[in-house]
Amino acid sequence: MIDTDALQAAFTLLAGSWQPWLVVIPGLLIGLFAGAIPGLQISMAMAVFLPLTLYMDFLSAMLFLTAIFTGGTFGSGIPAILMNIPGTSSAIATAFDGYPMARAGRHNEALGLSLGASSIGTAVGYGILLCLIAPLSTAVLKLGPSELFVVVLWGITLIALLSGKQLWKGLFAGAIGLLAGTVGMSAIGAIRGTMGIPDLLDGIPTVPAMIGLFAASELFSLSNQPYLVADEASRRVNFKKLMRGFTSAFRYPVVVLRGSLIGALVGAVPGVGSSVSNLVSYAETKRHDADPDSFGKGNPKGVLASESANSSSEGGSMVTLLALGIPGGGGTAVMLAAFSMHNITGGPRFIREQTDIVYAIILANFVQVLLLIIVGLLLLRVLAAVVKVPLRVLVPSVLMLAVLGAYGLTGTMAGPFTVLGFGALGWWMRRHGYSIPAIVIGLLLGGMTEGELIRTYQISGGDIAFLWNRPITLIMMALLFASLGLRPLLNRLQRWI
Amino acid sequence: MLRRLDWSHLALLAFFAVVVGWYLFDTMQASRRIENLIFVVPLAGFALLLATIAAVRVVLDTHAPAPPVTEASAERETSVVAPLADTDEPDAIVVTSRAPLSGTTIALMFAFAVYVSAMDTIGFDIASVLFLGIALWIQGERRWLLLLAYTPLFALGAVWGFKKMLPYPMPTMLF
Repeated sequence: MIDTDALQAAFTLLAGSWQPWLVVIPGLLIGLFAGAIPGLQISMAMAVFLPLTLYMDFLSAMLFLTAIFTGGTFGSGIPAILMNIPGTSSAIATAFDGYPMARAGRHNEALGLSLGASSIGTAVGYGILLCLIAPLSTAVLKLGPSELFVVVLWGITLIALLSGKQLWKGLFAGAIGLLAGTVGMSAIGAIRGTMGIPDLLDGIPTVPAMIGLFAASELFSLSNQPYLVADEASRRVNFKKLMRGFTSAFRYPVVVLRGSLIGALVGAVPGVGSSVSNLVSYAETKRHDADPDSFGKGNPKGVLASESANSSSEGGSMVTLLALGIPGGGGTAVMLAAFSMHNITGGPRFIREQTDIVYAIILANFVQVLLLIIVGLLLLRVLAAVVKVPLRVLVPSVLMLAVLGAYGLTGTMAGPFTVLGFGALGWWMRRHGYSIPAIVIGLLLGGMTEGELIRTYQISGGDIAFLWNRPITLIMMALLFASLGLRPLLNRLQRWI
Repeated sequence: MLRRLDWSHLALLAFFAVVVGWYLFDTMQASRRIENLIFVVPLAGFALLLATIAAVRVVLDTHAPAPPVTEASAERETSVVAPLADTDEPDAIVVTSRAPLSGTTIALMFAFAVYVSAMDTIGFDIASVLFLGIALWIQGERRWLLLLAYTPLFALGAVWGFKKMLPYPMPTMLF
């Protein structure tokens, strides 16, 4: 199950140099702050800081981005507990019981529980990834171009289904993204959609476009928002009580482990991730509890269920990213962009050839859990105050950094202009409820999807009967159509909670 | 009372329809080989179909009665993250996508567009200081100390940091 030679090599890789570790604490801090400030998304923070990874080796880049991811997931629970405002959608269920606990003066305990559950959840998620990644890559290697083509379409359909209220808007955004991903020189050398601009020959610059769609458009939307917080964050953080809450997370192993397993499983499904896993885990914990009526009134198990699930989703989403090279959401989409910036193509071949690096990323995340505990415990006092940072200062400052970062990526004004164009487009799309992750992932995967379809056509000679000999393709197509029923299921889950 | 026609949504759909239609035409002009068309043509057709259906729905929506404006719905329109306090309604936690169009947002986007267009000419440092100061002002910041101290320190610090880090030239005026 685990390639022990590669595991040993990963240990050597991590122990042999202190350089990759330098970026972990800054990454955790960025994530914690971005998660703690309501309105800022983790994927936005990852996109804004993505240009910095150009100056890192691949391992450091991945550690930096996963540290932002880990820190952000925990950070988003802080305003959920203190002010009933989830920092991101992954902490929605945390607020259900975290806020009533805070109102009852038990905010230290709730924050401690959240940190404990996040740490265990992250560790379990990456533990599962460690065990599954090698066998999964062997299985995925057996997939041909037709299967990979359907997998991408399925992934985008799931994202379209679950990231908005109306299916067609998600599908439309995904289709636009896929088309945008094919701009430039095609596989046969035809030049499409460049308008004579040489910068577009290699396609639309994906990372600046992503910064525009994830960061700039969100910042434009936030621009007319005042303080989100007024008075309630003034609750004092007490280290002793915090520690007591942290240790009591270990008193409910079944809740935390169930939450972690649900998180890893749900997180692996593209489009679902931590936004849904925290709700599913909360619902399951409430259903199994002897006193379900106590949920929503300050039951610590509610906080544990939500936080363990949203944290373990990170490991789950990495399964899809590493095994298939398909990002399941905003955070992993940014990681995929980091792959391409380092000339690495994610997928089974990468896992087979660079198993030591994959294991090193996973192992480093176990250490990140310990660092998260230390940084979290030390900084919760500051983080409880940072939720009050006015957006009017943050919005222009982050916009400026986004533009400088985009210039840093391209070295020409193409980067900043791409941020501007896609930022405005993303803002317009957000206003009408179109899925931003769907268009970004489409943009990232458009070229690959077209390539797989062309290969399928070449192998089959254009004969559709070829598909009858590809049962996995047919099963995946059936799953694609079956998954169209997921949205009503999710709506029912939300109503039931 | 009937709903008002959502012109902004229609304009977005028209924009995408024109861009997709043009891209389809450009792709077909580039090469008629099946490898060039196999993905783009059906996908563009699908996108155009969805855009048409969506446009029809937007128009038909004007014939539906407008929902009554309640205090809760008005609150949700104006907040990015609707607070959960004292509510058991799951929808209240959904991040709303339709914030009202405000002069602040338009002014900020305009300032951002000018910033990006001018930075190559007047230098990244000067442009960044001006953009940050003006954007803070647009956003409603009126504390002079913050405007006069934070703006140059943060903007120049960031530009200097990027200039030192980047392997290619970054046009600046001051350093």
